[in-house]
Amino acid sequence: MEKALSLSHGEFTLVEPHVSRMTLASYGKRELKQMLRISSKDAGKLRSSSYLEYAGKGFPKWKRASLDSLKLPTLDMEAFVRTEGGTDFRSMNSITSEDLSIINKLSFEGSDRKFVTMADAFFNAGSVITVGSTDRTAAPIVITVEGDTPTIMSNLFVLDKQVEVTVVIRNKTGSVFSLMNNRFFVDEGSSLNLLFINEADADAFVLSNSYCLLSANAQLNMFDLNLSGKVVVPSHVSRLGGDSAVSNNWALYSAAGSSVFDLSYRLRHSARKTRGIIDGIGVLGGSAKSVFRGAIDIDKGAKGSSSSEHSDALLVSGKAVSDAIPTLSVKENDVEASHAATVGSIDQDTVYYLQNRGLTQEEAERLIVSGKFDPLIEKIGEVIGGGIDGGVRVAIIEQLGTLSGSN
Amino acid sequence: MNRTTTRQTSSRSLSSSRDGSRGFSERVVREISEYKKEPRWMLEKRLKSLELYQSLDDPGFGVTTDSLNINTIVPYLRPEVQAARNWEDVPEEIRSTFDKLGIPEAERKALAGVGAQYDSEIVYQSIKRELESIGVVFLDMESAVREYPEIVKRYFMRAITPSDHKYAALHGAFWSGGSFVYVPEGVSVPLPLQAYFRMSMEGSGQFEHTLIIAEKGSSVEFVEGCSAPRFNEINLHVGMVELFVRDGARVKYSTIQNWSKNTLNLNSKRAIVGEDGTVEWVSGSLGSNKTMLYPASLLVGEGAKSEHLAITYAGKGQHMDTGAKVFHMAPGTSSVIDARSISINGGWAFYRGKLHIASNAKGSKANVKCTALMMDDNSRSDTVPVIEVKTRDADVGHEARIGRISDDQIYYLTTRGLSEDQAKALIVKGFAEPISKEFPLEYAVELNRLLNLELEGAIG
Amino acid sequence: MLLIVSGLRAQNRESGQEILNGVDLTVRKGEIHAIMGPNGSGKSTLANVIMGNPKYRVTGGDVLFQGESIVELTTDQRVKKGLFMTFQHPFEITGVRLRSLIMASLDAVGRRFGVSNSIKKIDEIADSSGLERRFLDRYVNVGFSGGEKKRSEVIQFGLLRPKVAILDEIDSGLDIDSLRKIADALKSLKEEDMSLILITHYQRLLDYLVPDYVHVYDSGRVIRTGGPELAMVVEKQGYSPVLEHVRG
Repeated sequence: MEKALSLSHGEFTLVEPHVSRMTLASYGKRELKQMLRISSKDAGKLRSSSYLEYAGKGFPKWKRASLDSLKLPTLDMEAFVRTEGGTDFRSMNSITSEDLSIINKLSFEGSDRKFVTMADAFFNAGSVITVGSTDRTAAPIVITVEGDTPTIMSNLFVLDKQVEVTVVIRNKTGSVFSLMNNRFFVDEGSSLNLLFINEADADAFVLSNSYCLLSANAQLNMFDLNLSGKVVVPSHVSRLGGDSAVSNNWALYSAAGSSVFDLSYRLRHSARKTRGIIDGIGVLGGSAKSVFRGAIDIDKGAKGSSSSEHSDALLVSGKAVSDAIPTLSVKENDVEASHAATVGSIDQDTVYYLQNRGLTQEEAERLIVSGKFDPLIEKIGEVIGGGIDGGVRVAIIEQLGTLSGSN
Repeated sequence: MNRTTTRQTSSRSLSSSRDGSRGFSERVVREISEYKKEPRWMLEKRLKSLELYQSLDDPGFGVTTDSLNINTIVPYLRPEVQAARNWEDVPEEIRSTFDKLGIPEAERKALAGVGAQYDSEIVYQSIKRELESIGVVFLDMESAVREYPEIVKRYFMRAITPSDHKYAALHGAFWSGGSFVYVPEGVSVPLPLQAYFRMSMEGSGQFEHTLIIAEKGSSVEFVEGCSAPRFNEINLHVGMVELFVRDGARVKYSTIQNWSKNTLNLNSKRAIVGEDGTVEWVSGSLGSNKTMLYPASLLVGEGAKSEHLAITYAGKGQHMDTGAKVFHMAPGTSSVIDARSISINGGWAFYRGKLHIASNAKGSKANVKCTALMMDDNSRSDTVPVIEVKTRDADVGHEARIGRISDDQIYYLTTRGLSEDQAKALIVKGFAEPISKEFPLEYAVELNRLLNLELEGAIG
Repeated sequence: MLLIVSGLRAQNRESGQEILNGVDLTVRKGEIHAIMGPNGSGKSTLANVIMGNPKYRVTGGDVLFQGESIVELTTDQRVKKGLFMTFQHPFEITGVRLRSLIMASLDAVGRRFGVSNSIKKIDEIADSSGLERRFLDRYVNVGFSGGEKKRSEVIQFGLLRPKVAILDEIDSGLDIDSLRKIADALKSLKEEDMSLILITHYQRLLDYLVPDYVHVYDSGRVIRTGGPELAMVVEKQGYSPVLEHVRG
């Protein structure tokens, strides 16, 4: 199991941080039984074992992203999820024992085990998508979550050696609850370009957990865009398990109203010469709250590795607040590990300069903010592909539009 | 309470039990209070703290304390008991370090809690007279309780209250020894005050309480601890430091800690800083088996400032959980943190920080820099800063870097004739330099020598 | 013979790449040798291998210093014997003041003058080399301009008084005035029986420090050796004629 924090070193242990739990009306045996009826034997095993763990603990009592007001709507047997591109995929309900063993190997904590197990027990959407060396697909695989009913999705992506794949997961749900687990296994020499776009309903609870295991010389380029939602909790972990693996993670988030965004990105280096970056840019308006957790974890033996994390949060309105918890945990000295975090506001000198070129205060601020995002959007375009870029740009501009004037 | 008085009373009480009583119980608290001839209000404070200690849970983070066998601990050792201890009982490792550091004979015994007489008494008395002439009070804590009860009542355990956490409560019940410094308005104390001067025999220093009050516009520098290894029979140190920095005042508090390698060192240090006041914390943590130390600065007045400089060494058998906490609670406040650590031979250096900018702390600036040097791949280094910003009108930056000494730097120094080990030692010294230069010269020299010794032992 | 490099072969320890392909060089007491070569020819590498940089491994040939083979010695051991090198791009060492480094170095090579004498000597040399004294109290090379870094290297050379000093492109990046100052400093610091190996790209420095021998270096070998006039030829015609002449 990929744990979030290693608590021991030699003869020493750290006191385990305690998470309080609470009960919420949630899905139970009845929903499980319904799902089991349409599941294969192995899918059933996955659901049942996950349910066992899920039922054994309450929901986490998080300090910032409070789940108190979460009211889970009725769960449909099948959610509105559209999948385009890709040639080899089958429903998560029909997984084989081989698929199951890969899923069990890619066991992880996510933002909390309660949610990871919830997704694996109750998923009403999800596929196993394999990309073999024979189908070097040029077109990206796009998964879109839509509709007004809760989506609980569990996906498994398996990339064979020497392939390059682009995956876009777009969440446009109109429901108040959306949860997903995404597991990625990237074999030697392959590269995965991954774009998550969260454009869920403004009142939604959006939980997204992902775990990517990279083999030798494999590469992950991940963009995580969080543009809306009431309680948004993405948690992404990359494990650089083979020599010279690379994981580049860019996070872009924009929160307004009374949203709470609790974003977590983690790099675990357990092989030599691995490289990773976590780069987060966020803009907060209204009375939004965010906490950006960037964690770099380097195991002993990961010689020659380098990892860095950078987070920047821009507070646009007077009531927005931002926390940052950048952590480094290093057990190997032949590495370079660093992090940097800043929290601040729009530089008034720059605003003044732009006003001297004829822009209003508001226009100037919007320009500065979009200026922060532009390089990242361009990069998305480069890596993911032009068509997507356009759609993303529009989504972000719309979002930024709601930010200004929310002082 | 000067030394001669103690000795007289002690000879009368030699007939009672040789040790103090074991365990953290109400009976022991009462015994201690009685022995110190404390006023009733202090005894009551102690008892209330004890209650809290018994009801509070362990802090939910940091080093594990299960090695602490509560029932065998003697919270208070009477001075005469210490005097009777033998030099032979002091661990070899400590005796040989004294040798290497060239510490004079008489000092060694005092540091080891063995000697009865110590020349510092003479130094202390003369300094005390000088200070009195400018209105500055510098006493041991027990005497302050008796001679300045109004002031002590007003400030003692108000910055850190017993309900803050379990070990604050423990301290509140069993505190013993420590210094009291009061600087009146506008007075600048011309020389750094050193706890060393007053090497009291009160307790072996395990529950020292230091209280410093700097009135408006005053300034004082205080140096605590010493670089020579402190031997502590009960292997537990739960110290507390409270600094009250009033408007426009400045307090600089430096500590070098080198507890023996089996000590559990849990500290609480806090400064409350008023308008335009400044507090500087300089900490060198070298010894102990496990340490928890997070000096905290509460910037409550407009324009208040704090500076935290720290160097932590985590060698073989050491788990050091140290850091800094700063709370910006007023506009225009600023803070700087420069925390450095060295881990080697399996040691674990863990930086734990909290930077909080309240919503009314407009125009505040905060800068944190953590650098960790890992000398080999058996050690571990973590940095976990928590940054909370509740206003956009603040400038907050944090950076951290963990790594090793670069081969290029080592090679460059070898081309100047230094051996590889010498090169490493020089670089480590350079790494600690920005911190060590903040100590009075003798301490800086000691710190460097200590680091060298540690490294020699570790690398060589 | 002070320094004899014979048939020296070496490779990059990590990549295995061959970087020295049989270098021959003989330096006697008091001689000034210049090594010139096109960019990327690996002249600095040669210097580093002679000094024992752990990045490289000797795979053949030998380096004899005063009759003794030194290839098994560590860098500082070679320095203690009397070899020295100034860096083209000296490294920054935050936290270590230049003065402290110099004192530690002097101690390491056994040149002890006593503290107050050392301070005086260091100040004097700083003055005569044109480096302001305040740099002595700064962290080694931090915030130093190119010229200041070079001067700092020259001071260390002057104080340590090596028998053989390799000066790696001590002239690069300097304007005419600075170059002359450095050259003057070197001339006055060079003692009669001290040997200098000047690794240089341009000929200008050699106007001030006239070499006894000039070697043209390329592809890991000394291609051609001549007197000072060889430097003039290279200056006028570039390296190609010389190299081609050898190849052809």
